[in-house]
Amino acid sequence: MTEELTFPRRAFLRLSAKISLGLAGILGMGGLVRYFSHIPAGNSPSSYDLGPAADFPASGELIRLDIPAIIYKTKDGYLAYSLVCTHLGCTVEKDGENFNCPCHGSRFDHNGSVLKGPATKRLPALKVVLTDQGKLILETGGKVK
Amino acid sequence: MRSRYQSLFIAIAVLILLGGLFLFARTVGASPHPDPNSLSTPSADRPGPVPTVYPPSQADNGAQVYWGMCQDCHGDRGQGLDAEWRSTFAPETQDCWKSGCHGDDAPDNSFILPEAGAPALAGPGALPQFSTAFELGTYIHESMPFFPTGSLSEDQAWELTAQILSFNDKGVPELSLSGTNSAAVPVNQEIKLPGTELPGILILSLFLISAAGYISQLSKQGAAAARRGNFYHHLHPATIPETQSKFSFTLGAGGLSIFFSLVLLITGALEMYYYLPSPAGAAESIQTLTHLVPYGNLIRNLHYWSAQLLVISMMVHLARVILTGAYAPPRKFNFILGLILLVLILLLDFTGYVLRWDEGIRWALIVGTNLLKTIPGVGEGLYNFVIGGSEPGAPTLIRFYAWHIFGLTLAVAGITAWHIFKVRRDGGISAPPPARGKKTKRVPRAELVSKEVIAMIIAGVVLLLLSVFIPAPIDRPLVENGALAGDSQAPWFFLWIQETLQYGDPFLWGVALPLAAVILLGLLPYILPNAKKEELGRWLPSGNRLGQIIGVTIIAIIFLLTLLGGLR
Repeated sequence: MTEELTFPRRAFLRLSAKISLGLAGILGMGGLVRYFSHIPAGNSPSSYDLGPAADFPASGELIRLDIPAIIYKTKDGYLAYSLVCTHLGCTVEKDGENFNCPCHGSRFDHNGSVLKGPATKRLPALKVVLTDQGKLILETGGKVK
Repeated sequence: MRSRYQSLFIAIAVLILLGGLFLFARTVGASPHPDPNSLSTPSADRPGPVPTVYPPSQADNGAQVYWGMCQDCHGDRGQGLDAEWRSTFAPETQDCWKSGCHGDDAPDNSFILPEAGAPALAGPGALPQFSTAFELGTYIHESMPFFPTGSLSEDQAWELTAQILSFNDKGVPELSLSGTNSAAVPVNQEIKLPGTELPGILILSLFLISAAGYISQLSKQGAAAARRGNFYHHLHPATIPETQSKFSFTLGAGGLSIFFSLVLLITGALEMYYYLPSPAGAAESIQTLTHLVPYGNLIRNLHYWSAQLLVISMMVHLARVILTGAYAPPRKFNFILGLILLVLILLLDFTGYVLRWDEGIRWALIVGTNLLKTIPGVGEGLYNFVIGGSEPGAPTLIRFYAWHIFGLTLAVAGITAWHIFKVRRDGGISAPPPARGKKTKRVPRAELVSKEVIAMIIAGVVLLLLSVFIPAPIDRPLVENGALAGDSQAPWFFLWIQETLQYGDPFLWGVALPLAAVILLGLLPYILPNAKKEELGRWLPSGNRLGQIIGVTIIAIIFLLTLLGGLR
């Protein structure tokens, strides 16, 4: 009976050493996660200069593949849609009035609504601002890509 | 037409002004940075350029640009166009919007200033729309100055960003801001530089302490448990002669060299996740690692200090082997392997040092590589091979990188394995032959392992202390084609070569002589008498006395030259 109750000093020390070694290991892993948590790359710009409104193409439509986005001029103002497929991020291509994604065949209409999957979400609308100086600025919120 | 000529004229005037400012900054030289608050009282001399120390910091450069382009509207302390700043203007120009220059009726060659004036850049609530220095710098580059918009270079935009951050006491002087690292520098939050690496240090300390505790418990488990042992035990022979296990004989230098190499492998692998091997990105990525990445500074310091301690432990190991005559047959060849390792490690230290690609490496990059050119016949080709072209540049950096992380590391790993294998093949480290009829006293591997681990723990503590208290050197990014500064120094492990270079012909003193010294050391077991078998296993055997004298002389000369170079 007494034997079961004893916990020899040496066994206790060994267990403590093992526990603290294990603890150091787990905490070390946490430190490693922290080390890798830093993101060094710069943010993508949150706004793009589209140039003077007077220079807007007469066709009423401007495609900027560097953003990538399409901007329409309507009688009510300017409309802009992201050209990044909401499925897996390929840049969609204009096909007549609609947009085709070359990667997995998603289709969107000219307002960005989904016509055919696999994409389930519409192409996001972006904000276009006309400044006092007559310049067009596209606000993306830094989230196009 | 008239306005075009006028803006050209203004541009030239600004250029001349900036050039003059630059010269002024040079002549003001080492005058200390003034207290910004001392500039707050309006006076005739108040709107002057900010004197800077030389070399100017990024923010100092920004202050010059600021003075030339931004100050009129944003104030000398970034206070904006407030009443107090307006009061320093001539009365008729105090309201810019109504003076006819910057209002609705502004002439063609001017610009319209918002009626409210220019916003404050410093003080509480300033710059509300920017969360990081990246956004601020990008905005400055794209939208400032108001006229002509976008006329600032990218460098100037970052310099101004640094200057505006320091207006707000949020400057990060140790960081050279750029598109790569600025996204991590907050404008409207507290700057959280990981100077707080305490948790990491505590974790490593806990690891060392518990490893010590664990090992001390393991060695008390008795013979049965020790015979079985774990994986690490089984890397060692079951038992070794007692004389081979004595710290007073080995100094633990060989084992510690392995330990430092392992620390270097681990920390080096971690550094690779942040290092950018390009001339434009290298120094900045090291700044990012050092100042922004959590525990990045600690990891870099550990890498740096293990590399320095490795050179020392290898030199001690070499001295021990020579002074105990341990290179006597059958260990002649292993001595050569060890010397090759020493040379490879020096090359690794050298290549790693160049990877910093900051102003501190100029000697290594210019003198170190040009030494190769002095070698008759093959020099030019060797130089081109090492730096990857006819002058240092991007190919040089990528070659040094490849050598450092791959070529040299692979060779060192292979030869280290061979070196250790040879130790065991040659019957362990040098020991006297077993005495006839007398049983050699042997120690079990558990004892050897616990000795090793204790040495590693002590070395680990030293490493940690050095890393915490003495940071690895870091400097401003290297300016290509910049001049070799007068105080350019070799890295300390090549100071002895820098010193010999002053005595004469660079090939003779800088290449041939050091090479001859290494070859002479390598030849010791082959051309000079060796220690007798029964003398092995103790210090200063009489058999290889001449070898000891030559070896100690070479090491002492290198040591003295290093000391001389360091004191210069």
